Amino acid sequence: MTFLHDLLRFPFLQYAVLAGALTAVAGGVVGSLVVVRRTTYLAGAISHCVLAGLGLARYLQRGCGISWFTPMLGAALAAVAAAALIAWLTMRQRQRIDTALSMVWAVGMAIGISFLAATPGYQDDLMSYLFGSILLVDPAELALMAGLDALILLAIGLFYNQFLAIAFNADHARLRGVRVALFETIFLLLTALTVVLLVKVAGIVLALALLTLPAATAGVLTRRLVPMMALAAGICFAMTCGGLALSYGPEWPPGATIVELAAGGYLVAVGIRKLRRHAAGG
Amino acid sequence: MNESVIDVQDVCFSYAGQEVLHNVTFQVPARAFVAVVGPNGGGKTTLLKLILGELAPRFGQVRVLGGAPQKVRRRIGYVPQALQFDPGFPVCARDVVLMGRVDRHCAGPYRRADRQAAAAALAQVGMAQCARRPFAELSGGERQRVLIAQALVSGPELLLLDEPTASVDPAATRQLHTLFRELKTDRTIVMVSHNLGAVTGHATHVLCVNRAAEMQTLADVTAGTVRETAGGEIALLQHGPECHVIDSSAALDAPHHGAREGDA
Repeated sequence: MTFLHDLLRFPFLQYAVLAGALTAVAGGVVGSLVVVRRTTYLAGAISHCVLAGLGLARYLQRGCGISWFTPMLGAALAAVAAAALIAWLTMRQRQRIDTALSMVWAVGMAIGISFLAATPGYQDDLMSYLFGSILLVDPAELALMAGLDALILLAIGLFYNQFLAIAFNADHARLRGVRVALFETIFLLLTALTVVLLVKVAGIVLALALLTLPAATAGVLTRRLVPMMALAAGICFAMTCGGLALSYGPEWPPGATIVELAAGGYLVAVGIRKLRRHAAGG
Repeated sequence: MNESVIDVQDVCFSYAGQEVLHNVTFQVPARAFVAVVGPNGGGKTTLLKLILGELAPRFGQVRVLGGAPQKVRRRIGYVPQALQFDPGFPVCARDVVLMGRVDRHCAGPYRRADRQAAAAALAQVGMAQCARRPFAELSGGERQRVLIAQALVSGPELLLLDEPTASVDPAATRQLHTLFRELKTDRTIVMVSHNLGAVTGHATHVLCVNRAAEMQTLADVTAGTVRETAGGEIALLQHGPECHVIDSSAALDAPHHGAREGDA
């Protein structure tokens, strides 16, 4: 009740709920494709690599006085660079995907830590990078989130058939004239942009969970991709609001609470399906 | 003069120095149904990939429908040997069929014409009632029918089938062969099969592939031809929906006079 009462009074809570809605849309749509393509570790590598961009932004702001280079901008640049590097290594240089992901995952974090170590002063906001800071979202970040959402939805809407055909059978899509490498690269970039949105809510460590758990829960409940995307977006928003409400009173970390709730929702969905199958079999 | 649908001239192909096909030459006329037979590793699938333009010959030339294979790929329907797919992948039969028209539009959703073509293709393979069923819930034979509908949905002039009955049960195999007989009336079909007996009911030509290749009309095929080029005996001859085990040498040593279903 305190949460609902304060939600009507405090803009920071309203911004947080709005941020949850914006990230849920991109997270549900892209997360569903990530889950059915079984590329969740790819998203994990990109999200951890985001620390390099966050560290760079903090270093440029505090160490060099470049105030316009915000952490969100740094995160977006690092995510896009990570996606482009993964695409180049795996599709152009024919390197093994697990090797490329491990490198991007670890080196991104290493670069981030190096920048943060070189930044003067106490790194008071390191925890917010790692575990999210949804309560600190400001209107400028909301506008950026809305822009990224629009871009992601437009790309998925335009090229949904190509993404679906490649995810189902890339060889057949190639034979039918689809430029598989191009669309794989576009999808990697969309995943990167979605990770940037999720990092604000859940942080680089937990963004992977928020990308995959609502989509996985939706995948348990429906067998068609478009309903799965819509359901995943709804679940993601519900978990974000639920996590915010649960964590607000006892002052728990909201990002962690949101992810714990999403994991609980997934396990409950799997359990319900198991019981239904058992009942149908019996 | 009627141009060949497939024209393969002096083709050699190697994987990492290991020659798989050597001086292969044959032509497939329009409306032919060619059964491609031969031992495992003999080059059958490689030959299909050369016809599709997925592979390029080391020597020689492959022309399909009057052009280079890559240029005419959209006019070819292809059903692969075995589809590796995630059983939890959230698509229904109609979604899979529509993927056969993914190249029709650069962007945006499928149009009404695409959906109508998908419905017609599913009806053609006898799967109209399964359009909305999840692909993963279909039986092996039903999935194979859906993949054939996917190959048919773009209206191909040439249909390439790579062992389409390899992973389905005998009842589904018989149903598929009935379907192939219907499909051959208005297009050229090339089908790789280990079961020569099953395809003799509707093949017009047999292409024996074992590094070299030799194509003959069904009437001219003898056990000697198969033994020499395919490198093995045919132990089972199967005609039509009923299965008949007969002595292969007795059946094939004499020229085959175009027996069809019901002749056995």
